Amino acid sequence: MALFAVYLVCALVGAWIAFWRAPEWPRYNLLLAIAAVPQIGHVLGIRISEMLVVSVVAMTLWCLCNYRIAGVPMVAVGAAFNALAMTWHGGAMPVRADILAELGYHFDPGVLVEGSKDVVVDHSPLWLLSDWMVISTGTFTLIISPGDILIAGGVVMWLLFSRTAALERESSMLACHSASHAETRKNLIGHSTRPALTRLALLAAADPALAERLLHDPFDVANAHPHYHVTLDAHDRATLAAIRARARTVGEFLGELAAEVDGF
Amino acid sequence: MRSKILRALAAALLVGTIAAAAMAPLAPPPIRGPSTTIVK
Repeated sequence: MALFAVYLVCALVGAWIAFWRAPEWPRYNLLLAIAAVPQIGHVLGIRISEMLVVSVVAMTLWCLCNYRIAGVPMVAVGAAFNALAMTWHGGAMPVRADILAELGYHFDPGVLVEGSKDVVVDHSPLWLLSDWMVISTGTFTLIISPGDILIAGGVVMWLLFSRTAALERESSMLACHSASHAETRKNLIGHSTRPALTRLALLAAADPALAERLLHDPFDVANAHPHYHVTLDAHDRATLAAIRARARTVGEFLGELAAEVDGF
Repeated sequence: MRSKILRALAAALLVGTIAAAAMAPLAPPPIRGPSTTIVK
């Protein structure tokens, strides 16, 4: 079967590339096998048009599960092109009779070509998606569709670039995580850019009497704590004076002080 | 080396399955009279 030889060549090329360069492995590959079985049956002559639905659904699910992997979206588009043309023609890939005639093959329209998924048509509204691109090496002729090219391109892209893309994705996720972690740390209450004022706020919160004294005379008390010395700079002193002017009670003073410490 | 070979085999299986599931090329037999199944 010439078509199976084509599939074998694709597999060998894939193996050769994967030997030298590790790709990112897709998931749920059983779906691919489920999609392939009806198609292989079609090539072998077991033609049940409804089986195309099984292939399309399984292939769609596989592509959805692996859409993040490089190349898979291209495979999905190619498979969709082929599936569209095949669905329009009852589960078989259309190939125009005049294209076959140019190559010396004379088939009547409606003929299913043995050992392939193709049906010969006179004309198709979706002829652009059908098998019409001829690759001939003299002894071997292959007629492919745009969908086949996209699928082959997607597979090559997957083999060559999926690992790099996955590494880039992981590093960007790490960078994003680090940035958000740093942002979270920055925004944590208690991580103030004013350490002296923070120390004073904690002391005041722990000792209401100290808070009371700070409210009435912040400068002397701040420098005269019996156990902890707090050195306030001019900015801190100005802030305390402003808070003292606004606050009337200890609670208001502590609330204003906490807000200043947190940078609000 | 063993892991590379296993990787290559797995890739071959996967690529072959993708090709069988989604690709639909036509590789006509050498011209010596058409071998067809007529359905219409």
